[in-house]
Amino acid sequence: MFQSQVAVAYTQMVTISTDDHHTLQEFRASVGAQWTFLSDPERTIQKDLDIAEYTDPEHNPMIPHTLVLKPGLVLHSIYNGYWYWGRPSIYDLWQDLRAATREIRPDWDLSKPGLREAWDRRDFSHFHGWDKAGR
Amino acid sequence: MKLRRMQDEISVDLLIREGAFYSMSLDRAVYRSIAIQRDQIVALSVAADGLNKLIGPATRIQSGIEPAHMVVLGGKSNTDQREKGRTLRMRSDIVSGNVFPDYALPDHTNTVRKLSELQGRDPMVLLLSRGHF
Repeated sequence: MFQSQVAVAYTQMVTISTDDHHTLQEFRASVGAQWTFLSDPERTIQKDLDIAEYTDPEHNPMIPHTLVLKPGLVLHSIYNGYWYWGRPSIYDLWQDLRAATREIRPDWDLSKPGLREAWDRRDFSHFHGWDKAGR
Repeated sequence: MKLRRMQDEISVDLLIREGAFYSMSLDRAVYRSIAIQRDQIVALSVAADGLNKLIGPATRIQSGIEPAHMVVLGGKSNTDQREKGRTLRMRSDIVSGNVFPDYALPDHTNTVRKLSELQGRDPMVLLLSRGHF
């Protein structure tokens, strides 16, 4: 499953829905999710981002969106999933996460000049998971 | 405030003539500024000057609208608006390169969590979901 790959790739996933607490728990369990679900029944985000799905006044949900965020909540890519084909495939996400990770991880390419020398002198600041802050 | 419910298709021009609009069926938001391109609504704001930054050569702004004759769009009757291109867009600053708001919400264990806390130093996939219904 994609979530198991995400879990070992130093990547986070979060779902936000307008469900109340118990419905949110049921939703999370029903899809077998291991990642964090956040509940926004007051529709704070729906209103703040102007993404009310006005064609469904009965449920008043958010227009589905998928966002890929770099550290610091910097937006990398945005998918509007109102229509099914607007949603990212696993392969779309894979490409986005590859590009984002390449950009943010200084040890993406171990052959980059200076990295081997840094490692040899035990300067782990450029090595994610080895640097002190990452442990 | 005088309200009038519209059940049928409404043209942009009619909406503008009617004055302030439009009220979602549930939250009753009143939009007082409209951005229009090629006779299609491309953005709305509840603030009279909320769309000033969007003014460009191809965009017409109808702003400062007073809610004297607010038009209430019937939610069910607007199902076809997406095919006609009258789609509402996400807030204009939510674009690649900008910082997403650091919302704090209760998680599935009822613990309030901030997005930045959940993200840490990693990339994050954030799903804004329709929910479980």
